[in-house]
Amino acid sequence: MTYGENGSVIGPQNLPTTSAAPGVWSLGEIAESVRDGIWPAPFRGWFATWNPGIYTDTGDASSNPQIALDSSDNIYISCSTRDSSASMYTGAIAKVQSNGNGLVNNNRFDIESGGTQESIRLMGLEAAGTNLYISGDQMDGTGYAWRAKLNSSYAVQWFGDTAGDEQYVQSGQNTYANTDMKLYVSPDEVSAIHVYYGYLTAFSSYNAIMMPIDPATGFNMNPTTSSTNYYPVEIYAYPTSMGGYINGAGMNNGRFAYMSRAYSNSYGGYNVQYGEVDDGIYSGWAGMQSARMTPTGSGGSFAGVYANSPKIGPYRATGTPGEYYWNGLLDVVGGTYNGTLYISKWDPYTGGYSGWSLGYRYAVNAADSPATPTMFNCDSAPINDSTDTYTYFISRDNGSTPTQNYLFKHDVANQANVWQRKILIYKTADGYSGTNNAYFRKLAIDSSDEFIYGIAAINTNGTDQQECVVFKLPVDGDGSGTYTVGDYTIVYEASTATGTAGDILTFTTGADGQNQATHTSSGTLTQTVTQPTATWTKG
Amino acid sequence: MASDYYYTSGDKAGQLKPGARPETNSDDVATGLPEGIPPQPDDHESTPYRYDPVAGAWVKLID
Repeated sequence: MTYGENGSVIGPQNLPTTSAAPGVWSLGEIAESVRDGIWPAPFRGWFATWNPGIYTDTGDASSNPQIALDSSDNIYISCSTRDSSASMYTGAIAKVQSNGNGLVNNNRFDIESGGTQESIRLMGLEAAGTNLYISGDQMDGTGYAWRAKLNSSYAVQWFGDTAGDEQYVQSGQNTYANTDMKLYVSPDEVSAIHVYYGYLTAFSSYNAIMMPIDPATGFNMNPTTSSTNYYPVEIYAYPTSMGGYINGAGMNNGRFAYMSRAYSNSYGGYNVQYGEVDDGIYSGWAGMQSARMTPTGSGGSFAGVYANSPKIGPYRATGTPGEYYWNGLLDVVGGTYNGTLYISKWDPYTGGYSGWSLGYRYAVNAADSPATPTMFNCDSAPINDSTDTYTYFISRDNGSTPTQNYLFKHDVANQANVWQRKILIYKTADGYSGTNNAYFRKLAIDSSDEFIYGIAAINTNGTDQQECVVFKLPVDGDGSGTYTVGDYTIVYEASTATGTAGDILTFTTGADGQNQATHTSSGTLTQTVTQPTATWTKG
Repeated sequence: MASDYYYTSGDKAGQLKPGARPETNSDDVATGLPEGIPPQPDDHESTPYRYDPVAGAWVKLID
């Protein structure tokens, strides 16, 4: 046996970690393993900052970050970057070395109309196979949503729809996107749903559309263009002027689901509307199972109890019934469980719209923070490992001075927390006591379930920054410590949010939605990809 | 595994069975704003806002 591999124990291999060396070790072996860096095992993850190097004047900033791993675990990151003096946005995409030592490449993604640069935000990044699917909106003039497919060399495979490159919910009306209302693509690249939102004159409000498209062409699958039964769906409020937005969505190889903080006069104001459908939205609204819930406790009243920005993440099992399963993540506002972060599994296949169970809620512990947080917020969807054994999610508290994020490894089936860690990010020179926020908009996990990845836009000491923070962290929770990453300090250590198992959801019907009939595509746009010099700093 | 809620085979696989879908208010659309909600900002047709029930105000969704 090679020393350091099994601590003089014959049997299954015991590998040292950063915090433990199982087995029986001689003093000589300990000395040798410490000398050679075998134990304590070096931290295998990393924290880093990325400045895409596009707009770099004082006041310029990055936002809407995304992260995705392709089928070979290549790491891609993206964001919008803003030129504050010109009020101009454009997109950035980069590929990161797995060891975090640097970038493989760094790219600026521009969209032009008639040869003039458009002010566009890149807000969605999905990797499937070896392809990248990106989406966003345009901010100057009448806003529109856009979508594109790139190959691994960033060459544009398609952009927009057969009827036009600019996507509108209604002709001539402003249409936008964000990091939840974006292009979703199934891992097998068979299906895609483009979610965006825009102004509907009949409703006097902004409403989200869920548009099934063909990921091979980018074309929408609406009957007007392909003579099938795939219909786009919109959701709206009651009354309609309150608007209809999607706060979270997800898809796997068979199904698509969404969640929304929704307003309805009939149900006491705000609640949560959610829905689930096949990944092509066959039969449109009539084929979608959509309903309402409130996180108020069994039999509780709907009045005034909702989730502020509910998210939903798919299970990764294929076929029936695994592809029907979802994890919902709710940041509860109002009622008995105000401020808690609640996760629950939805099995619509067995239980229909009320088939939610295995609930578990976390309450923020003010003692974990230098500030006095009272609530959790949701900024990104929960993700599952490849066997749907563990679920990972991240949540931001409301401490403000500073705000911290909390990363959870959770066992849904056994209603148990595995570990939890808090992440504090601030500029070293400014300290953490000012307004500090990090917005983690997406998580990812590699194919071997070894590491989870995240990316955040940051506001430190009250100022939006040009850098995004990127992390790669081992799934065993190792690596607690304080990391210096360029100008920033990142503290990653155990947290103590209080966990409690129990189902707290109450359900009803009465969801508001319909097939979307006013959407249009128009215009011709061109795209360019260039390679600015980025600044990447690993801690 | 059979489901009470979805067809699992044939050309309707993945679609909801009759009666499994919750009813909706699709045919009962009310416009306007609820009582107690302030008017939308004047530029709401060009700039998206969303009502924040905690702040009690319309919050701009883009910079």
